[in-house]
Amino acid sequence: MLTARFVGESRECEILINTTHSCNLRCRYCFVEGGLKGLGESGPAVMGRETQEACVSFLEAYCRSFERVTLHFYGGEPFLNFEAVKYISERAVVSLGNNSVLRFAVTTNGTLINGDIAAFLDSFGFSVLVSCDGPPRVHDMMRLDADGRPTSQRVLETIRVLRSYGRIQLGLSAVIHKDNRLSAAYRYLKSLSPAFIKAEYVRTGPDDSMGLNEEDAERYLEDLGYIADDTIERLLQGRQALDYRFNSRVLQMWRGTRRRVFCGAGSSVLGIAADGDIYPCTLLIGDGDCRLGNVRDGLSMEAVERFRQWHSFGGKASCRDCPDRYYCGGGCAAMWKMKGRGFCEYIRSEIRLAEYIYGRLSETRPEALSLMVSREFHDRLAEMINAELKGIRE
Amino acid sequence: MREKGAKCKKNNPIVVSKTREILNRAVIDPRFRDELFENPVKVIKQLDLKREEEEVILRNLDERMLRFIQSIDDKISLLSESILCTNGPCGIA
Repeated sequence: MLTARFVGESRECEILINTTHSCNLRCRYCFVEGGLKGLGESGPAVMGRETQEACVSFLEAYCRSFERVTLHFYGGEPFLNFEAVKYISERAVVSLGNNSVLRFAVTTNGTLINGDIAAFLDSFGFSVLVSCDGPPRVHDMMRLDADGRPTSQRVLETIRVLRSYGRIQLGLSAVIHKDNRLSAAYRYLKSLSPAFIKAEYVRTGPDDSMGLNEEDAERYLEDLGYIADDTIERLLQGRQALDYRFNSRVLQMWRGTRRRVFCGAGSSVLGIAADGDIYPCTLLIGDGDCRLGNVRDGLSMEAVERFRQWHSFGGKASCRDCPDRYYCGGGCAAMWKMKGRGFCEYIRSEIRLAEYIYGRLSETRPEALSLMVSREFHDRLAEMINAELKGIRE
Repeated sequence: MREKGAKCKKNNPIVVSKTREILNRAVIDPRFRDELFENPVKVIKQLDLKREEEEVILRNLDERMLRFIQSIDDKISLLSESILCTNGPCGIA
């Protein structure tokens, strides 16, 4: 049941750092459009040392007030500029590590990770999100290198190698399109034993032939139900969810809080471009209307406030009276910008399924909800409850 | 809460079941857990139990347990308030 209480300011932040806008692949659906998305000839493709230094200084000041900080390297393909990933990570440990719990993540196409890179990722305890659309036949439909060659075998080998390292949390990410069904992708990725899975519908520009048509969209929504059931089964077995998409809304229901915005873009989430420009999220890099500042000069608070107002459900006429606004928060800003709408049908479905998950767990085994927080919290809660019941029985 | 000499119903199914119910509700309902922490006697008396069943439950409601349950809100707030899109941006990797 929703109380009047709104979600407070996040104590955790995630900074998405584009070490380069270049990529060695030419995925057919890619939003990066083969390289300098939105930057034309004026922006650098690679984050140089001077920008890296300025980035670290900016992070030291900006992240000071957060208890937990995640630096998430992005691209293009971030390992085309591994030097930047390494340098920023090493400097961040010194500059931020005493003040906040620091975590590292990277999203990668998985084709450039050699032994040195893997060892580095392991030593820093990275979460590594590797793009893998599904079985080789499906993956190689879309994910080709610059010479048009398939990449599935290289990616599967990378997955096998990364799994052998003890401190790397391996995630797998699939893009869902009309030839790649969500439930099939999820099942395949699950068979590769990752720590987590991300599988989202294709996000291309407004004129695309690879987007989901009405029939594909119906199947996608149906498959979200499959993932919800799998999530419930795992939680009831004492295991964490593989797909986190329902977590924050289920936790919202647990606390009875409302949200004003879809995500922390522009406050607890920032995207830093290779030239040091700051945006609310990496998906908005290059959108001049959304530029918030630069790592050398800092943020424009006027630009931040303007974005946050627009990003909230109150900033969009179609969202203000929506019955789901307190669980949605107004939709993804990047989707509004890219597609001119918020993909409400997908968000509504996720909200309904979050209600379903919450309802099932709160009736049968409510302590399982704590698995959406952390394993440690769940184990303590379950131990306490079991101890109480044991005391009653003896 | 712990009383010497009170009768103890070993393995009473109603007591076990009611305790489970109390704990489940405490996990789910923030108002209930605050009330339980502030005044467990008052909360237990509202459950329509026999006196000896109330005594067993109250005797076993450990203060450490109550404090932990009370801290649930704070523990889940860190993540629910980290309103991030899944594991990062919802874009194409």
